[in-house]
Amino acid sequence: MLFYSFFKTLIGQQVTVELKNDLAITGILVSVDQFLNIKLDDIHVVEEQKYPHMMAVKNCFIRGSVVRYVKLPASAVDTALLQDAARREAQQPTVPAPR
Amino acid sequence: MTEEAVPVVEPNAVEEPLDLVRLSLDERIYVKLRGDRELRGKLHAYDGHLNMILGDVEETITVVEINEETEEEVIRTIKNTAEMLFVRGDGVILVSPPSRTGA
Amino acid sequence: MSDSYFGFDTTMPPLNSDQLTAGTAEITEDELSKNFEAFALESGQDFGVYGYDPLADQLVETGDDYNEETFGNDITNIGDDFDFTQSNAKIADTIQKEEKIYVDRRENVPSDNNELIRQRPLFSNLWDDQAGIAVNGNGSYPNDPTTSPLMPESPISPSIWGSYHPPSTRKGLASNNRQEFIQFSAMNLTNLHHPSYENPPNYPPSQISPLPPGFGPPPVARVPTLEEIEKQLQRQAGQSSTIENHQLQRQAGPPPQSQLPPPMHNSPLPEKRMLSLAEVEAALLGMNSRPPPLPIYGQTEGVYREQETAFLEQEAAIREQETLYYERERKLREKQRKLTDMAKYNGLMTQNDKDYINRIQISQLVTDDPYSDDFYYQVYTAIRNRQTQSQMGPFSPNASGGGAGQERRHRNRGSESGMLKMQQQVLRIVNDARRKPKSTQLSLEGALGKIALNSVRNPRQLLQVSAKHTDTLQTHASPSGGTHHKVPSITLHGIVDHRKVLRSIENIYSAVLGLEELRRNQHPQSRQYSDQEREDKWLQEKYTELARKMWEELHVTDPIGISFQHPFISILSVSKGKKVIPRVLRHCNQDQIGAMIRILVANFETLDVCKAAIGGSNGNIKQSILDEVELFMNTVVPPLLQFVAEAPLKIVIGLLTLFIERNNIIWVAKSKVGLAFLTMFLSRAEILKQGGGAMQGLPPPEDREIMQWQESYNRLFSQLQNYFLSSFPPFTSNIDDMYVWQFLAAMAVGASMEQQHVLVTEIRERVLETVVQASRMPHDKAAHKITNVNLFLHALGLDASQLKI
Repeated sequence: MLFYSFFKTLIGQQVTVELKNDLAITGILVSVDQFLNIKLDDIHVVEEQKYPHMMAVKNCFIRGSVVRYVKLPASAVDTALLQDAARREAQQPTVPAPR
Repeated sequence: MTEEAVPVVEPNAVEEPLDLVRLSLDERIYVKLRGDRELRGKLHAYDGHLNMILGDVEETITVVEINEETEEEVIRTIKNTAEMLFVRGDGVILVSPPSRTGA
Repeated sequence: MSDSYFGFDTTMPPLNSDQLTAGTAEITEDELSKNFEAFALESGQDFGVYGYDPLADQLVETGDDYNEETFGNDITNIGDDFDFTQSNAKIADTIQKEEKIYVDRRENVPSDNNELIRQRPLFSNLWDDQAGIAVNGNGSYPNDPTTSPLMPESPISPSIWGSYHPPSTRKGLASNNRQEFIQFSAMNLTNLHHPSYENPPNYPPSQISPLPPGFGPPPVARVPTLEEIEKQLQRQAGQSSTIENHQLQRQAGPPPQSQLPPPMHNSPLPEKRMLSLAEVEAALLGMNSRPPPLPIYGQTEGVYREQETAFLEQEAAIREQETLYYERERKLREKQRKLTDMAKYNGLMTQNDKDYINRIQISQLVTDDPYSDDFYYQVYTAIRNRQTQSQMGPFSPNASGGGAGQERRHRNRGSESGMLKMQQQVLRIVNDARRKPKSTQLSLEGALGKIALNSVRNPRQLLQVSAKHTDTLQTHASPSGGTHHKVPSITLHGIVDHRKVLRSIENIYSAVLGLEELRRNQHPQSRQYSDQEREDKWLQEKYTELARKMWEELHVTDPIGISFQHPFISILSVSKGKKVIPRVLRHCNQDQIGAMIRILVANFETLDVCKAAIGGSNGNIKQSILDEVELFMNTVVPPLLQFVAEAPLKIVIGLLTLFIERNNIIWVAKSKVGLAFLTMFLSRAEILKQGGGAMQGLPPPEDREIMQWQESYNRLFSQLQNYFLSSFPPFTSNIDDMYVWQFLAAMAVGASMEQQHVLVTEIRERVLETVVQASRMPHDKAAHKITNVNLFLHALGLDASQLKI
């Protein structure tokens, strides 16, 4: 859930999603789910000449599994908090302790 | 890299491989990816799938091109940078601390 | 009866061939049962088991005197009460079946449904304006494809039911053409638009079908006469007249679909026009190879047989497109049926039901503690909210855990109140789920599917290795592993150390995170335990335990000199080790902080930010080191500064003495952090000397302490004498040298007149150079330079403006 939680904070930010087929799409992150499927708005392809077939598309849904990278604005990331979140995720007990 | 392969057994320390990745949090790491891609950057987050957030990333793509005239293999590298990068875990081959000699 | 499936003797009883050929209708039940009885006696088989229920023989057939009264016996006068045709139309999706049944009951109707379908469109094509109605006549197609078939508006068209329907149901259809159409269809004639077929008086509809349609012949049995075919062929071959051809094509064209939009309706026609005679013939040949239709219609068979070939030809031409259109029709019908099927369930679930399902679904995503699974989002939004809504007050880590997160979000976003409510409602479900951690799957009542409890960290156990077995494995492995172990520990000393350090740091983080979470949960509102005291005690114990662990991992109390670098210094040499210090110090008492700062001061010159941050002659320092220095100044120094700022003079003297004794001061003074620490001690001592400690409730320093301080100061001064200038970064570097001026100012304040004189003499060059440099700089930069210099000059009671260059 760490990255789902993380991406939720990036909603509204401009990100660039690089797919495993090398297509890179820049757009505003609209939504994300726990599979890290991604919805983008106001998109444009980074190499428009190479991939002109996306010219008319204004928004898209990207299946999480086809993503290679997502380039993010560093200003929108609280790295210290993120590291803590990663530590918490890593140290969560295998079986949650009953409260 | 070769040093990393040698297991160092700590008494009473049951370690999962991911625990070693945790040691590299907030440290620069080296990530080898599918498709002859390599990343170097500071590890900010990871999960069990090895999804990662890296900071100040340098990506190196190795492309082998065959020179049509000489039929020699020409190895070309493409370098990209990103200030903050989410890497999907299914492309990750290995995660390692960068070689200490360089640091 | 010749069936030997059950392994019986299948030789037939003595049934004579006449009886067999006469058909079943001629064999009465009595005869049959007699035959069976006879056979059963002969063969010893009990046929009653398979065919006839012997119990039926014992049925009392009396007492049915009132049957007529009850059921009526005048079957000729049934009336409209039992005419379900009207209501049949309302059940459009079953109308096809109904049709068959209906046809069964009305013998004067064409015998075969398929025949109907095949003919209908051809005729309706001729009368395009009525095509829709003709099709509607089939009963299953409403006029408007969007109209729900449950409420068809179309009347039952007479095209199926022939003349049976009263004229009133055919309003609007009463044209001559319509009449012809009815007759045509009723008589199962071919679709040829030929004069001789427009008035077929020979075959009144009632005589056409002597058998129920279920037993009817395949449609190909109904064929035009040879004459027709000849004419047809002549026309196709000889006349290329478009009109005729077109007409033909239209006849041969696809069946119209009222549901289909007009373009679709006509689209295949051009394609069809390309059909040549050769093709027709070829098709004809193909059709002829089919087995001939069964000659069952004794009456009409002779007349129609000759027409068969021509019809086949027609059929061949049509078939292709028919299939195409039927396919489309079928798909459309299916879609519509699906829609209506689904419409049945409209409104079955109330909003509450939907909410309940939603809740169960969400319960798989939401937990009772938003910090556990959604930590980053919760805290990040909280921090952002604090930044945007400063009136809300600072974000406190002491806020009450999950409850606080929910409340905060509730306050900030009204739209999420529903989510909040839902979260509260799923709490119980989630907790229930957690109480069964052993099961790998769990299905909640009403949940769609199962909830998997397996996760990355809690995978399904595939192997069960007994503990005993692993023990033996370990003992076996140890001899070889022992030698293995030593090799890396020698060759990889540094790396192993580094990993140890990293592990310590991560353990510190774990402890700190645990402590912080405990603090969050300390809020009493988040707990509903009646035994408050025990709970507090438990929390306190846990807190102490974690704090102890954290302190251990810091290695502050490790003896000095065992290893090349003190473990605590190693921790501080990693950037994340520096970052964790402020958070660690929140959970430390004053003694612990004091111990920490003493270890730090005693090993100062081994700190990376000290030893690596001292530039050579050219003053070049790696950017990464400068970043580390900056980090150290921002993370480690402030909390320590705060400690020193509250410390009594005795401690400050101790620290300064330790600093001087344990480190090469000249060297350390070249580093920014070294100067920062010195400045820290000097200014604190000066404040205390001047009685500043009174505000903190400290007693004024004793004379003995002041003397001790002076002693330490003099030692420091004498060591640094002649090296003050070397503290400055070279002019060529872009490093802001303010920290040096600050240090010099602190030195100057505590210096005697003599010492001040020494200072001024040493620094004079630098002062002048800086002022000269500033005069060549843009205004704001120059001002900054001058301010730096003034830090020092003011301490001496001077000002840069007094300098004459």
